[in-house]
This record gives sequence, structure tokens and C-alpha cells, in this order.
Amino acid sequence: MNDNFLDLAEITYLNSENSRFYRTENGFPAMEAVLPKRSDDLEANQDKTPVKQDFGRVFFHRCFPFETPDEYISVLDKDGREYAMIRNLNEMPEQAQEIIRAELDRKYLCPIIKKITSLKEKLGYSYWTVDTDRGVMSFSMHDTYRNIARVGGGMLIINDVDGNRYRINDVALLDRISFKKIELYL
Amino acid sequence: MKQKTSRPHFREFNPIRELVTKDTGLEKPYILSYNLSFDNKEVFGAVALCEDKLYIREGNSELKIIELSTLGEIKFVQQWGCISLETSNENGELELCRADMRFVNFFRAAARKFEAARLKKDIPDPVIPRCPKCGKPYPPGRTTCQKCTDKRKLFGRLIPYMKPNLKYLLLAALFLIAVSGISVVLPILNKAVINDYIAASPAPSDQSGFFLLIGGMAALGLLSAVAVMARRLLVARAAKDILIRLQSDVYRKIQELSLTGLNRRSSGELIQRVANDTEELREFITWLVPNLIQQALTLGTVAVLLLIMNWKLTILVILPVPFLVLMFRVLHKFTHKMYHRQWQVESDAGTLMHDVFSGMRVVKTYGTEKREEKRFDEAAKKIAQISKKNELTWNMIMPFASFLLSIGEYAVLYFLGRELVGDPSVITSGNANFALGDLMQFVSYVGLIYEPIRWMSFLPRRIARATTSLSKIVELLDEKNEMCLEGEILDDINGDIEFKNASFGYADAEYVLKNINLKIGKGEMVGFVGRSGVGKTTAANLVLRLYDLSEGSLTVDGKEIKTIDQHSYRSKIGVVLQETFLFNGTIYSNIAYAKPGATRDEVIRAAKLANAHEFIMRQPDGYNTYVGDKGHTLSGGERQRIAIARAILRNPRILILDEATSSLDTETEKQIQEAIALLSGGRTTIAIAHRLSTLRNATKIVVFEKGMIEEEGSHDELMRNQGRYYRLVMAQRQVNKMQK
Repeated sequence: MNDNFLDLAEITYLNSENSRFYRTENGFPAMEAVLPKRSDDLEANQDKTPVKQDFGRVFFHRCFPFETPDEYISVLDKDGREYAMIRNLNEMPEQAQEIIRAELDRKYLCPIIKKITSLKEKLGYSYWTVDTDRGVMSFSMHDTYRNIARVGGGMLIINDVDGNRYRINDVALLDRISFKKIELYL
Repeated sequence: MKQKTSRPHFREFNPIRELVTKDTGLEKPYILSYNLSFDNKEVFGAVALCEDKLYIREGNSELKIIELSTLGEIKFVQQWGCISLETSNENGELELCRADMRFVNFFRAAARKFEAARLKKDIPDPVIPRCPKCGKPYPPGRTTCQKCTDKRKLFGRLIPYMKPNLKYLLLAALFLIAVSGISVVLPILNKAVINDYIAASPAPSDQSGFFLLIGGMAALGLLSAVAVMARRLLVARAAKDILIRLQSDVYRKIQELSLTGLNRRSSGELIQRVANDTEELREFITWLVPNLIQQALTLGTVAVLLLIMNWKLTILVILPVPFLVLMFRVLHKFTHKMYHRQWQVESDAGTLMHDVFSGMRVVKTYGTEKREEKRFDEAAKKIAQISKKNELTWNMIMPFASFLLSIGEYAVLYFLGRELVGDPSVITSGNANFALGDLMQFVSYVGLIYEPIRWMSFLPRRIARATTSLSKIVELLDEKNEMCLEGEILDDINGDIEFKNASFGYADAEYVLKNINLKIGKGEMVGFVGRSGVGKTTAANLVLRLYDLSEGSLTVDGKEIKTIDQHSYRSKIGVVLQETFLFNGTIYSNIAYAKPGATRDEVIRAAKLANAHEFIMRQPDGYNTYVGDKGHTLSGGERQRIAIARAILRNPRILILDEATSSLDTETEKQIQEAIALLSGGRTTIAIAHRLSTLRNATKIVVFEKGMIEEEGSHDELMRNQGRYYRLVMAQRQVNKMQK
């Protein structure tokens, strides 16, 4: 008998012993790991003994992209099936960290807004000009209030009309003028 | 807004585009611009298609030429906040280019174009609809550019809606002018009363004129009241008509739109269009425009009269106007912000309530009532706090603002009054430029002139609101239906269906179905099998012609489905969907929905075939049992049986069952299976099912996988092949064994 229902589900975590990351010829991250053999869901008898395998290119997906971007990172195949999970990126070997971080930076593009220089609303659209960690950017938003996700802890994720995303780490820490501008949408 | 963005944009001049064009040596090659490097750094880049090669240039690096024949499939990849095109070469997977989300339409189109070129197919250069004025592609789900719409033309669109009521509206305008006129005339009479009688010395001997004047003033007051009333009645009448016309037009248009057009919008947005935006326009036509005319008229005449009376003083009165306008604008912005916040927290609390009430079962089963109470308490406190603060500020500002408004009157009183007080003879003689009566008239006019100014300072915002609503409605009304609904009218169809090299993708997204070839003969029962999201339902929707194919052809009885009149075609199809939707109404009306004018006899027969009659008779109200929008009083299986009865009643030539029996118990399913088997004699049936036993009567099974057909054949053939279907059957058998 299991003490806890949840013990029935298993999460395989990767570490320096059971995995090794490298780059493919074309620069994509790839993984070699000791994991059970992959089998079709429909196969009757599934062998669960881990074997060392080269999986080739792998994909990453953050479980909590806003709250803990460095923790709980899922490693997936091209169809989105999970190989295993990285519990905390900082505990992985240097070389793996570098490869994974580079890939995460490639996948997740979200400029961080430092300052709002202009915010005007006209005909149901709002027009923004902001200073970000990637330079000055202007964008427009529709249905502004609903397209600002309040993630918690003062963090905002802003979705513009094109589908680009911007982040404000903590609205309370914005300068007074910027805050006055965005206040209406909080 | 014109500030330079650090991210290269497709609207800006991209020097790389020119370079690549030169490289290819073609006059107008197909080019895709992009703006991010492999590691997401800002860069100018472009990929050009030149026959069977791709020319790629990025920033200052050298030209790369890639033979398309060396590449694997070229696909569009959605990242998180950015996008890319990927393919593969002899070294494995390869990224061609990437960009931020502004390029998404271009990237999707280019992926198709490049992939077609790789397969040596030539497809026309994809056209991304853009605003002809500013060159920006329309935002998703829009077909007009909000920034560039011509406002005058936009308001011209309202004229047809006003035309049938033009008589009333003109009459109302007449009354409007009358009211304005009276408000200007009244101070003149007032002056006469004061100057000629009250302040006159010696008092005039003949008093009849005095009573006449007073009587005239009273009569004018009454007339004004009558005119206002008549105007309001007329306008209210016209308003009602206009609103109905607008709403029914918008509603009709929404019904006409194809599903593709509808999917772009949420149903909340559509409701907003029909209800709120039309209401906004009604207010604009019936309230804003007449008031604007009235205020402008009053302002104009009063200003002229004031100038004639004393131009120096008039200038003094008008001098503070710009400041007043400015003050009101600032004030308005401030109060708008205040009340906007209040509205926002109120609506948040509303959402919270809606959430909790509709999730009451979850709240109760998890015993979280206290927590929810606290959450609501907090929201309510927040509202109270904000509204208290708002009321306070409002009540502190407004009296002060009214005082500022009347300051002009005080100034006039001072300057004119000083003249009068300083020289009493003016009053006694009554011959001076300015007598007491003139003073009163002047002061009343000053009061009259400030009101329109105050009113007009709010005008821009109100007009902006109307414009927004109007442009959204016009956009909807102007939207072209991408599917042609008219065509050959068929009296009857056989039900031979054939997909030939058919591909389909929603909007510009990736293909959901790729290169489907499938023949379904008349009277066949075909089962679509496969895991979720592999395109089974999409294929069925294509047969229903809810969407048109992106490529290839789909024929019914050898005729291209696009050329058949949609209405006549659909009347031959019966559908039972997984999600059973029951309209607000009785069970009877819900079944009879499929065939208006069906007799009671027919409805009962259909219900019996669908195995619904029995449970319907268990309801106290029988067929008159009222079912709500979600059919709360019925179980999932019961609702499904009503939907089956609905489809049967239609006596369709083609029957589509999308997980139609999934909510039924095995017994009932079997009974319905038999009924359907009877029914489908000579009828083409397409059944989608996860439970494979549902398909025991199928003459053919089609197994879908990743948007393609993986296997096709009868149950026995597929079992012999031992492919995916075989494994599916085996897996399900095992589950069944466990259940036993």
C-alpha cells in the first residue's frame, strides 16, 4: 500500500550522472541519458529498466515560466512527449547549464520592461513605447486590461496585438511616472 | 510614437532585402524578411526563393545558398514570444530563420511557399492582407486597419439607418431650433420687463404691456417645454427603429459568416457587437448629435448677440474659455481614471461571484466556503474603499468647478454693475447704453454661453467612443464571407464522397489534414479512428462544409462541394456532435428543430428510434418538458439521444456521428447502433469513435495519424495487417478484460 496516492506517479529527474547534453551539428541541444526505453503507448509489456541511449535533439519547456524559470524544466521529444525533468537548472553541470540556458533563451523571448515612456489609448487600442532590456520598443495592444496577465508578486506579462510578450518584474518597483501611466490597467 | 524601435520591423527599410534581390538576379523574387538571429539577437535578415534554391543573408555575414533538394520538410515552429522556420539537412535538423511575433503571418505563409517549392509544386505567392494605407498587416481577426479608417466615410455609413426615420428626425431638429430660439428670446423679454416697467421712472401709465410681456414669457416657457417633450418623443421613436435596424443587420451578418470568420471572434465579442456597440451608436445618433446641434446653435447665436450688445465685455467673457476647456479636459481625464478603476474592481468582483456561484459544487465538496467568503470580502472592501475615495474627490472638485464656471458671470456683474452703481442716473433716465434690464440680459447670456462650452469639452471622448463602436460594426458588416454559399441546388444526393489530395489548415496555421485521399461510397458506414487531435473531426467538418479545403478537392456525387448550394446540401445531412447543444425550449421543439413543420407523429417516431421516447415519457411534462440552455435537467446520455432523434428526423442522406454515443451506456448504445444500422441502409454514415465497439457495423475503418490516413480497410483486413488499428483493438480489449 502506498502512503500517498501521489506516490504512484513518478517524476524522473535528470542529474550529472544519468544525463549528458551536447549540441548537434546545426547547434540544437541534444541529450544522452540513462532512461527506460521508449515504447508505443499501446504496447502491452513495457520494459522499465533504464538503458543508456542517445536521444538526439531534445526540446525544453518550463513548467512554471513566470515563477521559477530555472526550476522544473521538462525535457521533451519533438512530439512533446516528456523524457524527464530537470528539478533545478543550477544544480546541473556547467556545460549542461550553458546549453540548456542558451536554448531556453532562444525559445522564450520576453523583453523586460524597465520604463514606460509613453502610453496612449485611442479607439480601443493602446499604444506603448517602453525601455526594455533589449532596447526601446513600441507596440500596441487591444483590449488592454484583459491582455495584461497579473502573475502575482507584482509581475505583469503583457501580450501585444501581434502576440509578442513583455514582462514587468514588479510594477511596484517601476519609477513613479511609469507607474502612473500603467496604473489604470492594474 | 515615431520613436525608433530597436527591433527591426518589416515596415522599416530592410537593406538585406535589396541585397538578396540582387543576389538572385530575379526582378521580384519571393522574399521573407526576418529580424532575429539564431540566438535571438536583433538583426536584419532575408530569405529569397530562387527557383530551387534559397538565398539567405543575415546582417553582415555572407550570402548562404541552399539547394532545396538537400532539405527535409520545411515547417513553421511556434516558440514562446518568437517563431522560426525549421527544416533538416544531412547534419540533422536545421533552423532557417527566426523572428518575433510580428512576422507570424509572413512566416506561416513562407513555410507553405518554401515547402511547396521543395516538393516542386508552384503555389501562388501568398498574399498577406495588409492595410493599403500604412502597410501594416491587419491584426489577427481584423479585416480593417483601425488607425487608417476614414472617419467621415465611417459616419456616412449611419445615414442609411437614419433614412427611414428622416421625417421624424427633421421634425425633431425643428423643435431643437425652437428650443434654442426660445432660450435666446427669453432674456430679451426679461430685459423689456425690467427696463420698461420695473426699473422705469416714471412708471409707465399703461400697464397692459407689462402683463402681456409676463404672459408672453410664460407662454414661451410652456412652448419650450412642449418642444422639448415633442423632440424627446420623436427621437425616442426614431431611436428604437434605428437600434432595431442596426441590431438585426449585425445579427444577420454574424449568422451569414463562415465558421472561420466566427472562430476569429469570441462569442462574448459578438454579443458585444450586437448589444453594446449598437446601443452606443443609438446614443450617438439620438442623443449626441441633436445635443451637439442644439449646443452649437445656442453658442453661435448667443455669441453674436453678446458681441452686438457689448463687444468689449464679450471678449472679457470669452477670454477664459480656452482655460475652461483645458480645465474640463484635465478634470475629465482625472475623473475618468477614477471611475474606470472603480468599474474595473466592480467587474472583478462580478467575475469572482460568477466564478464561485457556477463552481458551487466544487466549493462545497472541497469545503472552501470560508476561503471564498474571505476572497469576496476583500473584493467588496476594495470596491467600498475606491468608491468612497471617488465620491469624496468628486464632491470636493465639482462645486469648485461650478464656481469657476460662474466666475465669468461675476466678472460681468462687476464691470457692468460698477457702471450702474457709479451713475444712478442711468437707471432713472433709462436712456444709457446699459440699463438694469440690459445687465440682466447680458448676465443670462453669459450663463447660456458657458453651458455649451462645458458640454463640448467632453465631446472628443464621446465621439471617440462612438467611432470605436462604429468602426467595429462596419468592419463586421463589411467582412466578406470567404466561402461562397450559393451554387447548384440539389434536390437529392446519393452520398458518394471523395477526398482527392485534400489538405486543410485553419486560417494560416499548419495543416491539420495533409494529402488525404479517401473514397466513401453511397450507403457505406465508415469509421474514423485515431487519437485525439489527429484530424478526424476536421475531416468530418469538411464533409459538412463548415470549412473549405486549403488544397485539393472534395466531391459529393462527383460534384465539387464548393459548387453546391450550401443550404440545399446541408438539408441532406444529419449530424450528431459530441457536445450536444440544446436550445432553450421544450424537448419537442428541440427535436423538431431539424425539420420545421414536422408533425408530432414524426417527432415521436424519431424519438423512439433514438431510444429517447421512454425517458421522455418519464418526465412529468412529456415532450413539453422544458430544457434550459445547458439542458440541466437531463443527463449527458439523454441529451445525446435527443440530438440523435434530431438527426434522424431530418431523414438525411449523409449522417455524421462525432462521438455520438460516447455518453451512453453499452446497452443503450447497442440499441441505437441497431437503429442506426437500419437507418443507414442506403445512407452514407461517417462515425467518429474512440470506443471501437461502436464501429462494429462499419464497412470501412479509416485510421488517422498526425493529419494523414495511416490505414484503411475493413475490420478484418486491418486486424490481419496488425497495424495501429490492431494494437488499438488489443489495448481496448485488455481494458475491457480488466473491467470484467
